[in-house]
Amino acid sequence: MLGLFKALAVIERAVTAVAAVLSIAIMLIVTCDVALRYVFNSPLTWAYDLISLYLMAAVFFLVLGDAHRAGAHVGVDILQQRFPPAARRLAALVTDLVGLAVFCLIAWFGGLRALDAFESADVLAGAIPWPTWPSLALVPLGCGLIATRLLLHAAADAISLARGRDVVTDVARAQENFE
Amino acid sequence: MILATGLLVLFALLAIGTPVGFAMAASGALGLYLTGGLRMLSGILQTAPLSTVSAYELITIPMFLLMAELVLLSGIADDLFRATAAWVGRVRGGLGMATALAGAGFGAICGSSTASAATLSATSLPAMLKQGYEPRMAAGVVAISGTLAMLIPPSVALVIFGMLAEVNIGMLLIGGIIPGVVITLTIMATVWFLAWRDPSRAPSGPAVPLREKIALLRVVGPMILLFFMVTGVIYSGVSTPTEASALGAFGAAVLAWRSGRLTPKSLVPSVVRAAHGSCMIAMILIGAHVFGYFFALTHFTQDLIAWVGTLQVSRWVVIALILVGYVILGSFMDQIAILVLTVPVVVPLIKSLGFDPLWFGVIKIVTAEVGMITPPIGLNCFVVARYSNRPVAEVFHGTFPHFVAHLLAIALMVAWPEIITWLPSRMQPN
Repeated sequence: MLGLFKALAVIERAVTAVAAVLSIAIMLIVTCDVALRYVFNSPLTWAYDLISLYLMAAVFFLVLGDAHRAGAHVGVDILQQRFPPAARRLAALVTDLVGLAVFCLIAWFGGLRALDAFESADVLAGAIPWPTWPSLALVPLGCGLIATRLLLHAAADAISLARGRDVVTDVARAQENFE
Repeated sequence: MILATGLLVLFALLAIGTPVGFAMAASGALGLYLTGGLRMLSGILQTAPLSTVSAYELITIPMFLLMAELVLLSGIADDLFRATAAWVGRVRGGLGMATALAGAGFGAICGSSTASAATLSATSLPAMLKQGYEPRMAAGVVAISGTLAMLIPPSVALVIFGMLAEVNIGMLLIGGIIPGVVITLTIMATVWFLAWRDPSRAPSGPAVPLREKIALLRVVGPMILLFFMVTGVIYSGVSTPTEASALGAFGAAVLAWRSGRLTPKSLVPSVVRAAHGSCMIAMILIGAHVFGYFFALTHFTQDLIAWVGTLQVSRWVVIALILVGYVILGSFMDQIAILVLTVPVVVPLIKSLGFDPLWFGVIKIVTAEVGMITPPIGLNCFVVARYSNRPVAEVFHGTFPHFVAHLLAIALMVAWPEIITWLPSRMQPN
């Protein structure tokens, strides 16, 4: 079990590294765009499409699973903290299964749409015919990764519930806060 | 009936601690399925997630979060408190006031209030305790001063409100400036009042030679530059808030690089944290969109507005009830969650009553500030308690006078909406 968690974390860390580089790229592209527009009056015409079509989608979908590992997805945990251990494990299991259902659905429908766009070679209308399938494919990729993580969590939480003690997972206990 | 099922599932999931974005997406999906079957559900799940995150305006959030991380990395906040302490430390309650000023200054270059509270806990709290301040009072002023970052632009919270309520984000951010000043003065006045009642709570600091005071102003230069790179360009219409956020992140990166603390080892965790934060917020927005489609189908908002319209009460009673509701919600719920859950209902309602949504957005964020320091979960108090190793109850006690003062400040802004709306109305059209 721990081996599976570790393998998943390796993949998540790799795609998160890509997303981190891309978020720095967004910062640099937009800064250059503004500078070029004001200094040389020649903005980067491709910046808008590149960022909104690919980069933002990549930053979000590639980080989805790793953010869940780090406990970044906030919940209202005030009640849950007061639950007895068995109820807390059951609540965690329900959360895992609900999340699993949501992300499987999004991955499935998103996958169909990406495949469709790939087969018909859809492109964005504009000066540069950006293909749409790479950004559409990020949806099943990112949602698939977080669904895998939720499946592992569900297994770990189900075992914890059955055995009456917490099975080790790699989920951080501390929560990240961003307000 | 379907509406009740959807809401029940949503609140049940929230109660057991399911992440807000997951809970909204799940209950929204269920509601859509019950209303329009698989066809409707698949149509929305196919488009909503990708179209939400590929909105160009959304880059404001990762960029503001990245800016906050880089500002933290640059260490500029530590110097900021030293500078304000040197200038106002001599007066009664001076270090407390210096904390409020440093909080405002930090808020002007950083949009995250927990980051601000953490930084102030590390710098101003030890300084006040060393000076012999009553620990409760010192911790209280640190927790409340941290919340200024939510209100003074750049502000992640105002951007989220703007995206949900479809209010001009640039005008909203500019609308936070004067209230930010008002709240800073409110905190300073509260500190002065507490120190006047019992001078032993807040001994004044040693005199600092003028030469040193001027030397400490060095730190203010880069801070003001960064403030103008973001808020200045938005106000003057030079660029959109979206572009300004990337400029701000870039400026903060330059500051961090100049401070010599920007190394690959320090940069990676900062960028990853910013990415996690943006991912969390985007997930909540996706959940809110899926739930929003379902919610719109139920006509709940229109029915509520029609019902409120038939009530024989003044609109001021309605707004007062809404604000009280926000303070109560804020005491046990995450602020972003409160925004996504309430804005789709409350903003159309207040618009129908003739209130300005821009004014309301800023007022909402001030009530959110209050929520950040209200027990049982006021986040900033926990941040301060963790960083300073003091009991949480003590911090909550210390914030109580500020809680009262904030309610007065909110009343002031309800009575004179111009405090919020005047500056945005002077903006250059973009």
